[in-house]
Parts: sequence; structure tokens; C-alpha cells
Amino acid sequence: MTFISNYFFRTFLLLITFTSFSQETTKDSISVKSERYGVRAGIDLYKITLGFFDQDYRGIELVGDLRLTRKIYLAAELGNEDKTVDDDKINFTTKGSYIRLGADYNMYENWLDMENLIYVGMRYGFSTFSQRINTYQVYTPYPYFGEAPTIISGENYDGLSSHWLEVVLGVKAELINNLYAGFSVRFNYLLVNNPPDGFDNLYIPGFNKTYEGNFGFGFNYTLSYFIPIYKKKVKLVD
Amino acid sequence: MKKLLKIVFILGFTFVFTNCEKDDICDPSLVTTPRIIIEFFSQQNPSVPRIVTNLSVKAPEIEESMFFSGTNKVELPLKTFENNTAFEFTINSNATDGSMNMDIVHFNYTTQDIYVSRACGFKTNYDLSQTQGIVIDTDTNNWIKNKTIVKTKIESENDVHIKLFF
Repeated sequence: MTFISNYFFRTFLLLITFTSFSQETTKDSISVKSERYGVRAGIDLYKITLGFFDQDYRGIELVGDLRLTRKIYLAAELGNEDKTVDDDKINFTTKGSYIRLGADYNMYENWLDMENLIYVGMRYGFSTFSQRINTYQVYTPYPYFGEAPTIISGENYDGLSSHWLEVVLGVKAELINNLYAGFSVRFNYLLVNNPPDGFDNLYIPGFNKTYEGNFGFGFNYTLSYFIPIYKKKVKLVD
Repeated sequence: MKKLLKIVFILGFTFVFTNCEKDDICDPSLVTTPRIIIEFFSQQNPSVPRIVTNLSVKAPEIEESMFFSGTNKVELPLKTFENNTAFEFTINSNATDGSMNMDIVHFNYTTQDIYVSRACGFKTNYDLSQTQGIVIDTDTNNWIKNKTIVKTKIESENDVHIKLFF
């Protein structure tokens, strides 16, 4: 009898220790998880693809980000564009390079070990470029002699530069291990723009088409690869 | 999460496609290619404006005529793609009593094309030749007796460029 009671008691003790132990571990897995930190490097698929289909466009944009804290990523884009625009009255070619530097803030709280992003960000953009007027038409409000003929120009403006700010809205989703698809839209605001004498900066590499005011738009579709460097444990608040 | 991503991607596509529409129309308030402004004055009293009765102006190679009546001021578009434009100035253009009279007037100039905007493209400004800016072909009965270049540079329609006396 004593043996049996002793057996039960021991089993009971063991169970308690087990449960208490397992309780501790489950508590751990809920409140603490480890997150990966590293760099992500990729390319804008839209610019590359457009280059295949549109003979008036050639462009590349490399994208990268570095995870700084749980929510904040340093981000940059580096690109080069060669674009010919055929407007109603003017046909011109813009060539140049650009860099955009800034940070993204991830607003998305991931489940378990997912590492997706829905983010807002800011960028400072800088571009150096040249513009060439290929052809133009003279606007005649009273076309008595018919529509003015198209004139071949070839006028070239070198050494142009522009600075701007961007507000970025985007997503990055992990497709398979460490491979991410991303999309972002950008609202741009020109800070410094020095148009050449006798022409205007109608297209700025990295900023895109310019409008009457200082505003502009942009977007990219990226494919990028995440290279983990270290892990950090985070405590979650339930 | 998947749903949210889908929504963002769809929004993105919509944004891309709506962004492609044409938004550029040449603003009419911008100064574009000016016409040459000609005023008519009395030959006897050169300071007195004189109205040309039923004036018709036409380029020899163009079918269509420009008519002016009840005014001493005409605005004529010059060729932007050549350095001279000829016009036939016909007074009493719809008269049947033989008072109709046509003089041929040549304008000689150099042009300069100046960028205006994306939607307007360029405009042409003219600079009339000092000596040959306006040449009237001599015929047996010229109705235009005299001419003066007031302003050689044609950059807007606010100035009078030529004065003709008859």
C-alpha cells in the first residue's frame, strides 16, 4: 500500500514538474521569438521588363535595405535610365543616373516567423542627367499655313541635376526562402531643379515625368534576396 | 495578409494604368507664336488711322483668304518654317465696279524657335530684316503707297510691327 501510494506520489510529483516545465517553455515561445536581421538586395523588374518591350527605354534599378531595428530599415535605390519620350510636340531623350536614400518603417506585425513588410518610408533622391531634344514642332495658334512641320533639333543639354524627396508606400512579401517580391508607390516632391536655358527638365531619371508643379509619381516592382546576418530575440506584448 | 497583399498589388496596377492618360493641353494664356500686327494709316495725314474697305489677305499658295472689315488693324500669321512670307492684299475685295486692287507684299525675316512648354512645344519669334523686312511688288496701280517698320522684333501681338499708308 505504502508502495502504491509512494508510486502515485512520485508520479504526481513528476507530473507537476513536467507540467510546470512545459508551462514554462510554452510561456517562453509565446512571449519571446527571434527575428532575423540582415540585408536585402534586389532589382526592379518593371524597368528591366520595359527595356525588352519598349525600344525607347533602357533602365535598371538596384534596390537594397538593411534592417536597423525591429521596425526600421535603411533603404536605398540606385539606378540608370535612358528614355526617349515622344510627346505631341516634342521628342526628347533623357539619360542619367540616380540614387535614393532613406528609411522604411514596417507597419505590419508578422505572425510566428513570417517576415513580410507593409511599410511607409521617406527618400532623398538625387539625379545627374542630360537631355537631348530630338525633334519638335512649333505651336501656331492660327495655323493658316497648316500644321507646322516637325523640326529636327539635336540640341543637347549636359550636366543637369535635380534633388527631390519621396514618400514611399510599399509591401514586401516572402515568396520562398529569403526571396521577396515587392511593390511600392512613390509620391515625389522636387526640391531643387535647374532646367537648362531654353528647355525644361521634362523627365528626370529616378523622379520620372515632371508636371507643372513640383510633384511627381513613381513605382517599382522588385525581386530581392534576403541575406541574414544575425538574430535578435524579441519580447512580444500580448 | 495574403488578402491585404493582393489589394495592394491591385491598387498598384490601377495606379500604373491610370497614370498613363494624356494630361497636356497647351495653355492658351501662354504667349506662343505671334502674328505680325499691321496698322493702316492715311497717306495724306500719316497720324490718322484709316480703315481698309473689305480687305482680303491671302497667301498665293493658299486657297483660303482672311477677311478684315471695319478695322485698320490686321494680324497675319507668318510662315515659321521659311524666312519669307508673301501675301496678296486686296482692297475692295468684293467690289464689282473695278475698284478692287491687289498688291503683293513680301515679309523677309529670320526666325528663332523658343521652348514654351511640354504641351505647346516651341514658338517662333521673328526678326524683320531692317532693309528688306517689307517689300511691296511694284505694279501699274499700287494702292499701298508707303510703309514703315515700327518694330523689327515680332515677339508678341501687343505691339504694332508695320504701318501701311494708303
